[in-house]
Amino acid sequence: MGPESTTGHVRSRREFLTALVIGGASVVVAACSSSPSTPAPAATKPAAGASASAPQPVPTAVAPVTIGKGSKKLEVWHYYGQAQAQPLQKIVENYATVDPTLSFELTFTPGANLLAKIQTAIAGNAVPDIVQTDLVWVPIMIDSQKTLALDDYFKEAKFDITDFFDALLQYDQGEDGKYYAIPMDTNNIQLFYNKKLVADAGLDFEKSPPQTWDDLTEAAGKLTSSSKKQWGLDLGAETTQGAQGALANRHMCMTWQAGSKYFDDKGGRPERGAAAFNKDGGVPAWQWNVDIIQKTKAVPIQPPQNGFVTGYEGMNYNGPWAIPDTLRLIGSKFEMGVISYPGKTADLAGNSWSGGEHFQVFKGTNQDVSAKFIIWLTSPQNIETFAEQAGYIPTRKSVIDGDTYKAWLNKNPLYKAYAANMSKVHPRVPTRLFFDLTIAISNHLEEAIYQKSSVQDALNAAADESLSIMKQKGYQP
Amino acid sequence: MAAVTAAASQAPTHNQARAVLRSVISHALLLFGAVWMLVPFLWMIAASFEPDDEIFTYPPTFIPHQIIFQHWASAWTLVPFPQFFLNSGIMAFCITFGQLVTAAFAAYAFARLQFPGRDRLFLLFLATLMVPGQVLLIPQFMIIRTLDWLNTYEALIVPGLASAYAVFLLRQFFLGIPRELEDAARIDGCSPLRILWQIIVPLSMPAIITMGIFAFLASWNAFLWPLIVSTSTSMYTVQLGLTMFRGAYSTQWSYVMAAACFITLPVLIVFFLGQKYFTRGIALTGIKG
Amino acid sequence: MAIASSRTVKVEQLAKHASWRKREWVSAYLFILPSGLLIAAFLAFPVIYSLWLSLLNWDGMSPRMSFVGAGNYQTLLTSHEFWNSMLVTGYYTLGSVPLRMAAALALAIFLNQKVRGLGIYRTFYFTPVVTSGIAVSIVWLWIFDPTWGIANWVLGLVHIPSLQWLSSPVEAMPGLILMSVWKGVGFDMVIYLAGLQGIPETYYEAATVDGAGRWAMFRHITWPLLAPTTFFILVTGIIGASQVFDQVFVMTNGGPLRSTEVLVFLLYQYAFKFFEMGYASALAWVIFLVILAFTLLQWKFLPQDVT
Repeated sequence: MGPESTTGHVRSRREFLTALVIGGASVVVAACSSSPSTPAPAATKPAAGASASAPQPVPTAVAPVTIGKGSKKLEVWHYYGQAQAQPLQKIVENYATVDPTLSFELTFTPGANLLAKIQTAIAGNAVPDIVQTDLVWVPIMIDSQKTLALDDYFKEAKFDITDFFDALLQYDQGEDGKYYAIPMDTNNIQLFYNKKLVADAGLDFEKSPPQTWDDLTEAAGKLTSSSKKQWGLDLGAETTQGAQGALANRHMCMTWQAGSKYFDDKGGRPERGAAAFNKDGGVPAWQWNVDIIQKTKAVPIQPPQNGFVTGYEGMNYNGPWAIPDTLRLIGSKFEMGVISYPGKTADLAGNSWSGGEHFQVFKGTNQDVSAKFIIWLTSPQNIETFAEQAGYIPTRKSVIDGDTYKAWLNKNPLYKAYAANMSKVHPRVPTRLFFDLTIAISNHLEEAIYQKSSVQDALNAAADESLSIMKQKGYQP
Repeated sequence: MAAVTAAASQAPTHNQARAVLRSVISHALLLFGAVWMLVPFLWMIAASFEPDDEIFTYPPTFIPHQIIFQHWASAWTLVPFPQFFLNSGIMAFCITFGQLVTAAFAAYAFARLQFPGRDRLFLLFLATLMVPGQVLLIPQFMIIRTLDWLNTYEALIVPGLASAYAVFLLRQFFLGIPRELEDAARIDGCSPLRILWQIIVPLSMPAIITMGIFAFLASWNAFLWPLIVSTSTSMYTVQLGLTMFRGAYSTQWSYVMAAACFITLPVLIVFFLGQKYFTRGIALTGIKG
Repeated sequence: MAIASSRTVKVEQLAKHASWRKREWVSAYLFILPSGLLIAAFLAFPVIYSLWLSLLNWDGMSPRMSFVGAGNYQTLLTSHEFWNSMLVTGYYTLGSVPLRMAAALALAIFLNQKVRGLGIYRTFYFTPVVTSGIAVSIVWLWIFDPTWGIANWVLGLVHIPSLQWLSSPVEAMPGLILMSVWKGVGFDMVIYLAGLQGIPETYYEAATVDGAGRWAMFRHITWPLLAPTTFFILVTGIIGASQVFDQVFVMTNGGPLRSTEVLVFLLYQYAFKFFEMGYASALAWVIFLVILAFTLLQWKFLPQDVT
């Protein structure tokens, strides 16, 4: 072994370490050199040619880590992405006039991970003060016995919880009758459509929109063209499990659109008893779904990604949360419209599940101030402002019926169908078994779509499995 | 005689032609493969410069019709990326350095030293790679909580300072080094420490660089662990920052793509720098067996 | 006189040998200590804790806990979905690991030459490893799109009819395997490159002088001397493939019809969707034992050192 090779390698080692240090230093310098006084970038320009109706989220300066100057800091966890976090931050800033002793740290976690993070925090005894969750998580959170009952605080603040839509409160009210969460924003799911493609197919959704499933099948058929690689209707790309048993969510809407319950009532409260979807309306609902995929072939099993915004889908099953981004992504390619999703009969059109984000407080040292805060946060004015700026629907009946919101809807007609249908929304099995049941049912629904099983058999199997899951988890239907 | 000479002079040309053809085909295949490798990366770059309504088209666009720099600037400032780069940088450098040092020592012991229980201990190290991390998340969080390390650099760095994967990689490489090199040193009475740092490590630069790149990459890309142990935005890493443009059901794609581009840059730089020191092979002139 | 001195030399040598042996033990344990201690600190308690959890029914959120002993394991080993996911994971591992290794080796050998510009190629082939997961999934979902995708276009060139890819229970897994080979080949290639660098040039020079052809050189020099590297890539490849999760989660969510429902996906569902931490822990332990068994088999029957 000659000395040259050792020296050569020693030199290369030194050079490598130097390179590493330089590389590292440059990263650190780059990181430190960006000062917070960087000028705010221009607001995103609304896409030319799009209807002036959608609220355009206006990005301003760097997302602040802490809001307010008070000495007592409250930790708030949420999953509002940048576009919705901005309006929320603006609202929270106003709380300084109500209680200047507080400051807020809003920490974002992606929606797909927030529940796991909460679960870990509960197990490790490190929970935040306030948390925003998807409404379907609320029964699970209540079950943890770590969240705060709010009834006394409602009384103290003379807060009228019944102003909120009942379908949303079905999640927030525990089995003991007490309320553990407050709805911040909501949504439901209806039908986007591509005005250009609809016109090209000789249809007019403004004068005579499809109102029944038969109408929809016909329209979807006319809008499908394999030569143009165009699909009539997109019902969602999720297969079996999706994010939360997506197929079961879809089946629920269609069952309500057929006028039937999905789960029976229990103790006077809807949608949490024994399975009811394998009889009455639930069966033709899924049969329709299978047929439009396999017989009419107007719905692809796997829709093209972003098929609607690229202009290759006539209609898209979607909610108001998607409107701002959809408009931006469509740009000037075409104009979109929104109609109520058809029902089995015309009067049942628009029935849908309710979605949304709710706020809860964890028991702990700051529970009193936190409870007061979320009561303030969900006041009618804040609910209205947030909904308008973030692309959601207000959770309060008084707001939806109010004049200012009606005026806003006239300027933003794409949201009208969603607001109008809030009277027709239903809760999705609002129990701690939400994921268990929707995923199990979805597995069977998928078999029906792939024609491995008849619709009735699949639904019966799903009902049986629902029963055994409830039994196994000690839940009395 | 003439025929043989003639044949002899023809044969090399024939072989040459074959060699050239082989080379052309392999270069063509290589190029084709390379383009394939780059498709998502190129799309990502193109998307980061395109206006919103061009990002999703069928077929996808790889060459933007207009170039907009604003997305990069906005993505950088709308979300506190400078802070995130600092956090990720500190985390990645400490972990890379820590793994290099701890793994080099342990790998040498497993590769070259004799001691009771060596193989069993090594298999124990390997076993740590076989437990799915998801079930360890809660108890590991509890440890961090007990140490009062929630939302700190320690929580991000310390659990990653040692890695059985790194030990395994370096051990295999150390095994491949001819023993004669160390035997000479042993006979001279060198301590294992000296042998490791003065003989083995210089000869293992390719493996060490590889291991360093991987350690850097793994910590730069870490997502779930930093998410769980950081409770305030100021401790977030670049991967978490990237998700801040994705709302629950909608995404600001142009910012996501721009951010994805500049987040990938440091790793590519590290890889490219590492490549320079990669191709120094082992010169083994003058070894007597 | 001569005998006495030779004995002294021998005794000296033995003494040096013995002290070296002792130094070797001490050094060995000291060398392993930093790594071992750090790993043990963050894994010992969690591993024991998860073993304990596997004997319970607990949802990870509420205070309701009950002891079920081997109940979780029993349910697991008699459940149809568990065995399905074993098969699916096995299919994925068998499909992706050898393919990826072979491609990586071929690439590494070709790119190991000291030709200019090959460094760029090496970076290109490594790019999939560093490209952001979001971009990767969007592009691959496009590649596999039944209407618009390039995959079907390529098939069309050789007159094979279009496939459904990720929406077909038969074609989804091959699609995932293809994508994972694409993503991982650069990674394995880099390791093989490091391994190739460790083979002294002199061996090849000597072989060329002896008139050996390229294939012979590969069989008798490259392949045997790469044994430690190959062992590493194979063992870690199998460990990794058995625990695949991210790709499945993003591309197919275990579907269609559970054809891509791999073990860790099942585990994730039980831990974070169905809130059965006990069952999920039991599943984790079974996965561990299976992987351990396969690793021990490889340890015993495959060459891991240079012979």
